Amino acid sequence: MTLNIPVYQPSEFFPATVEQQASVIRNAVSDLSDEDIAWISENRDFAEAERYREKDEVDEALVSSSLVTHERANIEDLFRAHDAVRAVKLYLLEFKQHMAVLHGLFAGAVVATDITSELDTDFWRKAIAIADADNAHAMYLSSDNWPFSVFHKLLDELANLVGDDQASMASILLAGIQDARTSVYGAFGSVYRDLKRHQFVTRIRDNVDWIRQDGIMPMFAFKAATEGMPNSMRPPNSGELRQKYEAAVNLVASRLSGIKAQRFMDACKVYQRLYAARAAYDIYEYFGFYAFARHLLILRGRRILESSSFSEARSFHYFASTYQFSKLEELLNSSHKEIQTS
Amino acid sequence: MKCSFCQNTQSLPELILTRGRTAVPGCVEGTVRIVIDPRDADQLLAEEVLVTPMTDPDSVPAMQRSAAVVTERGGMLCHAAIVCREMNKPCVVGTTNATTKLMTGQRVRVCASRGLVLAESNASALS
Repeated sequence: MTLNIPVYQPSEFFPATVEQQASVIRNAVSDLSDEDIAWISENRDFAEAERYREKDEVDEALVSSSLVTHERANIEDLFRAHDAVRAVKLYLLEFKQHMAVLHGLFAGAVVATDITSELDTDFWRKAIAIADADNAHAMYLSSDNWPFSVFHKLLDELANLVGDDQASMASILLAGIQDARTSVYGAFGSVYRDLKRHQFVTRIRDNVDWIRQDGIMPMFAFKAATEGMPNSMRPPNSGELRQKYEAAVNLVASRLSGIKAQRFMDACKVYQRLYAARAAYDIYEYFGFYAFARHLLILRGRRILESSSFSEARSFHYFASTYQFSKLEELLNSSHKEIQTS
Repeated sequence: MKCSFCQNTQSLPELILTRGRTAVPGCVEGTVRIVIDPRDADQLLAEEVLVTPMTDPDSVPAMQRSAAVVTERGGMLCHAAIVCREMNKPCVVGTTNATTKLMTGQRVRVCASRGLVLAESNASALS
């Protein structure tokens, strides 16, 4: 008997519909030149590359931030207090609330009309708080490079139930969802081969929507589109991954009975939802709306600061781009004191 | 999915160059390419074994070209594990020391099903 297995999609975890995101983005880009869009596209790539290049420094900033630590402790407490399935369900509720607050703040700032000649420190203080909390989700949901992850307890439960069948376990872990990064390469690989950034941006403005239905913004696919892999090397798409996932779940379920079979299905369902949430996070944060809003607001902030201090503008740009928000807060505090004493 | 070494219950510790966790099972032979800076991943040739502290999003084409991926950091759901799983590429994660224990140009056998990297000549002799 083939089981009916629910497969959640990342879009179910976006904090706003793609149409709502598109509306804000269209509004914002109508005031942006091609050079501005190229800057946003390039700064996103710079920030991501720098985050990996300076990983130890960035990780140290995450670990030493009290806001990140507070949010991490909340998440860890949740998983200490409950079994894996219950803990994940509660975590996903918190995650959705967090994403809604994050989106509300950044979408509001993107469309704000009262832009002045001074840095909006009120916004940036709020942004630092929510972005630092967001870093905790980056560490525990999006990454698996830390001793704790919201997946670990569930992975132990799945491994225990699946047993020695490594092939089935690998297919179940795919969750029927394509990763954001391979999705970008799959969609854009070599589409604009060898174009320069400004040529790429012109094509994006002319040819495609600013945001796709899967939440990915083409302006953040520069490397994949211009240096990507040939068609013959494309990774499998979501449909193929879903078939593998469903076949593996059915195979393992057919071997189990009674309470173990029920535990396995419960674990699969909640794992698949959690994986969809992770995919949504990766798309929204690194290839979608949040990447756009963040780098647009960094561009605006840098331009404002450049008028008074180039070095301060550069520090602001670097810390905000590389997720080092506690250092950004120190910068804002020191600047504010100088303004007060001058 | 397991090679003769993987199926052999008598493991031979002296053959093991490094070990980590099985992210994607499978066993292959290949030539090591150490990539410390992700920007150098473009240097990886087809069918080489990508050995790196960790992969980054721009490593996807190199991972696709590789025979297998071995990382020092990361767990079952790190970037390397997820991408390799989609590509059905053998992958060992969390070795902690692969970039120092292995050398570019070295021939190895990656027994990802057991989370092991072996010197190829020794491993082949077992087959």
